[in-house]
Amino acid sequence: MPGITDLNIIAPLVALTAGGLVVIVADLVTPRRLARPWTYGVAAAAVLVTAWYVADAWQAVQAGPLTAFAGAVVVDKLSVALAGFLLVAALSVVLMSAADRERDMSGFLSLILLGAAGMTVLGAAGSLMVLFVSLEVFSLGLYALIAFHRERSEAREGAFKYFLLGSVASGFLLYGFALMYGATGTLSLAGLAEYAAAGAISPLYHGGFALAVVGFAFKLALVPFHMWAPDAYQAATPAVTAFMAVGTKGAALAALARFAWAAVPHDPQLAGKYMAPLAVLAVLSMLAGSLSALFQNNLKRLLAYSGITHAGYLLIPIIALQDNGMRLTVFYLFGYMFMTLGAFAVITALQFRGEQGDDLLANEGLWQRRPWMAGLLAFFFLAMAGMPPTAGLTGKLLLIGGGLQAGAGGLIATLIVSTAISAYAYLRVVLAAFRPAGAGRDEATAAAMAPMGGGDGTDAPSPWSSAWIDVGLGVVLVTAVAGTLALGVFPETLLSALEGLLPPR
Amino acid sequence: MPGFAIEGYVIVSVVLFALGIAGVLVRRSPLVMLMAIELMWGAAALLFLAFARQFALMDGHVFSFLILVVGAAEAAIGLGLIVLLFRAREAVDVDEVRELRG
Repeated sequence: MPGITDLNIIAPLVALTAGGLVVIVADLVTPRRLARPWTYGVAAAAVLVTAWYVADAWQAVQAGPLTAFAGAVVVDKLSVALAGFLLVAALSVVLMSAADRERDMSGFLSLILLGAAGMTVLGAAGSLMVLFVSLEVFSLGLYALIAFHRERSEAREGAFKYFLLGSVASGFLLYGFALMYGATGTLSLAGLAEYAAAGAISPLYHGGFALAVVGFAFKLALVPFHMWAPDAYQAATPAVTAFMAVGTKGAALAALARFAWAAVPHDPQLAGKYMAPLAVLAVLSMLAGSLSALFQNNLKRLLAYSGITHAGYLLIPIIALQDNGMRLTVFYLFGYMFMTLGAFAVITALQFRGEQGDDLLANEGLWQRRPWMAGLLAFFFLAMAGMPPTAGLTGKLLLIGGGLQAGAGGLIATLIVSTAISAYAYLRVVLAAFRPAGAGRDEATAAAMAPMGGGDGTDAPSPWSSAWIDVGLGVVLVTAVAGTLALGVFPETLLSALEGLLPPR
Repeated sequence: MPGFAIEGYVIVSVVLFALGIAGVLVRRSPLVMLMAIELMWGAAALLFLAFARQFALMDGHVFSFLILVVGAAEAAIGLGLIVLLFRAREAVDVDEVRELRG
């Protein structure tokens, strides 16, 4: 019988969801002039209150995993670590979106908070039903968030493409779940784990697992199911793109790991066959992602391909089904989050100052115009390329070490090759920012002068709010730099906390 | 339970799912593609119902209801996006929607 204990266990989710609803109410009851500060205040407060509950939950799960609602939600170290990860991402995105000129932001903030709640549940899903519903909760939110700017036609196009392919992916996932249900007669991951451990796997189950993997691959944008990602990333505003890149990847990887840990048969030969398609997808993503990134002139598109490549890296411990391997994935996820949030925050800050921001050619000569921004841009892209002493290098070294231990030599070789290729793609961005302004600059600055987001200039924030926006962006940038460096220099602190995220199979 | 043959339901569901995939791949009208996606979801719901009946379990029934509810939300968002697209231009063909590429 679900009762007050269950609600206690999922308190962070209740807080986050309530925050998403209170934001809308706050917009309705406050005077129009004050609506914007109030909604932002409520959204930030909701994230902070949730963080307080998450800290509490982190203490509680040290003793062992908790389950709520008859096993439908599993609160263990993995789900709480993911919740913390998502809160940092959500707060940064809220702060970044303050630079947005659209006047009515309460719906946007509400969707961010509810989307973060959906992602948190996805990482804590203990049954296929919860997995599907939470996946849809944040996917539906993201479709709307991408299309948020009413005037920009490319936003609608990107949102529509993402919507079509995302729905097809959900169809595959659902059909796979239905087949697995038919084979096992249970929807809970614990039940699937029993079936997988017992042997005697029916063909229905093989097919179901394969279809579910296709669904996950779409959501993670693994090659060849990645076609939507560059378009959707380019179409959205930098804040939304950052949320999509970081949040979706974290939540879907956690859910995939939980699903694979339960559903992959224990017979080692069969387990190898189950994971082989995922290994092929990871190799394709690492290679195709880094090669395509070489030819991108739009930074958001480039970061989309970088995200595809990173999804391949992050899959390695999951494919190896390594005991205690998930901590390497989550560690690198944290590093990826700081680097990606930082890069998008720089783009946001540039756009806020009237630059085009996300165009490689328009960024030429950035060093002369805005030395600080150019330096930060270079820092985040070099960190992604694996510059010491940043999380980009430490995370990759940890993945390599873990992969060699698990005997995944082929995947590790691909990771190294792909890192070398994508280093060149990232360096192009850095070089462009430090190159003197070239011939392409005139038209680029002309385009940059056009008001961003289709605003007609009357919505421009007042100097007072502009100072606040700068403070918010500064907080995001400082956090991102500090996080990237701290994870690179002191990896042990986070790594030891992430010990034993998933029980050994 | 006399007269309940699971095979029939599974075959119908597979046919529906295949039709849905074919529809998404072949048809170019956004509306028809949305309908094809709904067909894929419906096929999964039918499969859940058939298995739930076979096992005499309730959770499959609940899942199929969830699919209907989430499908309605999905259709609402999808139709909203299609309206936005149509308003921007007379796009009756998804191949004409291509500002973003690279």
